[in-house]
Amino acid sequence: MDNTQDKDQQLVQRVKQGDKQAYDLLVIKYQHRILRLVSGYIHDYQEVQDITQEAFIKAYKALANFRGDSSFYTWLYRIAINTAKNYLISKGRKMMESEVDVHDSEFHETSHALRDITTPEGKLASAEIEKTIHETIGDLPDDLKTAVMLREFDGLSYEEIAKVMDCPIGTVRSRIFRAREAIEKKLKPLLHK
Amino acid sequence: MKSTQDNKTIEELLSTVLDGEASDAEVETVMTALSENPELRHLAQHYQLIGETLRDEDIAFFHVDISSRVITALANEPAPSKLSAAGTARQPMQQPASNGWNFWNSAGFAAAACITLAVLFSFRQISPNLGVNSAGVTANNALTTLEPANNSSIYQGDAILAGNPASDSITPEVQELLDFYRVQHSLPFESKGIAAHWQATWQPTGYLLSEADSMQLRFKQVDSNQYLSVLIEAGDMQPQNFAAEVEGLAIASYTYKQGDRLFYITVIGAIPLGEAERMALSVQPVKNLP
Repeated sequence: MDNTQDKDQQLVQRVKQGDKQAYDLLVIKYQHRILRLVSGYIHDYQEVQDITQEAFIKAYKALANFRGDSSFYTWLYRIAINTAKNYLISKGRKMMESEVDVHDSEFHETSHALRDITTPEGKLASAEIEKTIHETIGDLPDDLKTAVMLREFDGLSYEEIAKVMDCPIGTVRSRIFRAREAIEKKLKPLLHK
Repeated sequence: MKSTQDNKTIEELLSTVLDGEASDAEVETVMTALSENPELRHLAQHYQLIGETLRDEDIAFFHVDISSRVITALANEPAPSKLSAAGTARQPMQQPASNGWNFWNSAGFAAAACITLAVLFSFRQISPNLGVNSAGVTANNALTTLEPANNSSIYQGDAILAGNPASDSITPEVQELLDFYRVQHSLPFESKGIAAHWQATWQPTGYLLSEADSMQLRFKQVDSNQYLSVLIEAGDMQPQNFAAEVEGLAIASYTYKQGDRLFYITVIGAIPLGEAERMALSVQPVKNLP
């Protein structure tokens, strides 16, 4: 179970109170997902970014009316899809064949669309990043590796990870951080090339 | 100057905040640190990238950061606030999204001198098989009761909602969808139920009126748990005639005019779009509105 749904509410509440820094964090958290989603509708790389930006702005302006009946991401997801669709309609364009079905594709990935709009250099860099991250995690001590994989891959909460690993929540928190820290150390030079 | 240990602590807190596992005080600490140290934003992005990679997500956009652009664009925006029924800052309507046809063409709807004919023409084009409805009122008859909607702000009032104001049983799913729809079309959010008298003179086969509360008329499909909702609101917006499918649900909205008052009829349900539109058209007051 992923408990980030409730925890996004913490940031959402802060945004509602005027904390744009909190919204910045939400954007950082979900921008790549939304970019991937929008790229399922729109081929142009720059347009994908523009529509994603528009969707985030639209979501911010409407945030007061988000009541948390669904997760923030689900709500944002809907706004992004409709922003993309409206954009296409305004341009008189048809949907791409890869258009996703909102109903059953909550976390649909649109990799095939992405392949069309990414450059060879970008693909190479992505491959290098993936390789570095996977290699680094492979070298981590088991307790760090397990903690971060249970969090990132399985989406478990800290409490659930603590039960699985039979350790205090504070230890889970520390292990996940140390794993990220180690990976980030190897990752950073690639991102600042 | 922060010590290395302080930095480690903040970085660990950031990791925890991104996981949604931090306390309010810890979130506060991270927010303060983020405002003071731009490097932490990069770190947050790197942590996100690590997570995306471990989840085998496509990282084609790893180098794209639109967060700065978003925050810059929002620099002069006030904190999000609820739109009010008498909202003043609404933007002109954009032609809404619609899968398939879009007979609710607002341009045609508002601009034509003989609006009823325009709508009838469109309606017939799209739904040639409409017949006499269950209440003995043809859809075309319902249409002929419409007058051209005025673009100017006319009615400054609370939402007029059907049924018993004491009840408020709209489902969260429908409310969320409705909110979303309103966001997309800049419709008012605040709704205050008052006694009103509305009816749908046509509904899809198999659906019966199950309840009328302060928010909606609700119809239930016989022998299933499928519901559809009809929401009625008063407003001062430009006519909003719209149909679309969202999340497998049809949404049809239609502006009903009585005298100088505008009412937004919105049908939401897991029914064919054409039926949602036909039903929206069939909604009318039972008697004079308060």
